[in-house]
Amino acid sequence: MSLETLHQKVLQVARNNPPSDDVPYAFEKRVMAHLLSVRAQAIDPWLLISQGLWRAVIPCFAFTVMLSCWSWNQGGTASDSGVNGLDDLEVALVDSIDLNDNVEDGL
Amino acid sequence: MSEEKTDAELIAEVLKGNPESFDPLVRRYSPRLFGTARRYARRESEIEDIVQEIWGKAYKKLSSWRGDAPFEHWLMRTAVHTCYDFLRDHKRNREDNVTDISREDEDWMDRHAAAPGSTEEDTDAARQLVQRLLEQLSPAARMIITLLEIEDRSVKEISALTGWSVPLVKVRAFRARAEMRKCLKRVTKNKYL
Repeated sequence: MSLETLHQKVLQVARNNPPSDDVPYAFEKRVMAHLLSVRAQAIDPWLLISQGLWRAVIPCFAFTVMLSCWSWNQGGTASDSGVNGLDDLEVALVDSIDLNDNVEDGL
Repeated sequence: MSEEKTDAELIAEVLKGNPESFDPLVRRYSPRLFGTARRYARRESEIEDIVQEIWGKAYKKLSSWRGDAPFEHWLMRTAVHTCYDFLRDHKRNREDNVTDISREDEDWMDRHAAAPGSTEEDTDAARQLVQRLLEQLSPAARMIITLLEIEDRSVKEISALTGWSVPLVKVRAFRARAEMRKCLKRVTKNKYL
């Protein structure tokens, strides 16, 4: 027997045995209840707002964590640079005083 | 009363804000949708979910039905798209499926090999074999084989239902037939050549 014959036979079986079109009991009621509940949800603005807020919880939390990490890092860098800045200022002042002293000594 | 109303009248009522008018449409076309969904899914719970999803989509975009084509055609397009999405979502399950055939399938093929003309077509084994073969096809191939070879639709009809162009349907049909032969060969373990 050729594969082609078997192929055609298989298709013929599928053609001659269409699936049942029986609808389960009270399926229409289930569909209508689902559609009406979806519609009610779509209409209720408070539900929409609360759903939106709940959905925003995770992204907001993630954003807060990221922001905290960033500000913590920035804070560390800023304080370091602040210390360095003070040091630089002190050195500059001391240098200028020394310079003045040298000038006065020279005179 | 509402059962006597036409599809267009019922849809107009739904769009005016009377969702209960959708109920007769659900009653009218659910058998057709179940028949379609059962071609692509096996479990009854999955079939019910597919049909419910089709109705959900139809309800949401009901305003896009312009009335120039019958509502049934418009609904069937949604049904075919939903079934195709279902096949794509369950692709992994299909790939994990065993390729071996059952004892009954093998017996049916042996009987068919012995007397090709006499083998009963309505036996459970034959149906199981067809189901098993279709489950192993890719979503596009299964869709094309079902619409073209089993439901006997034209290429133009398939193009309208799926939204694929006519040349794409032809190419996919060619590939689908080749894929089916390949699956058949694998399932029968190269027994019939």
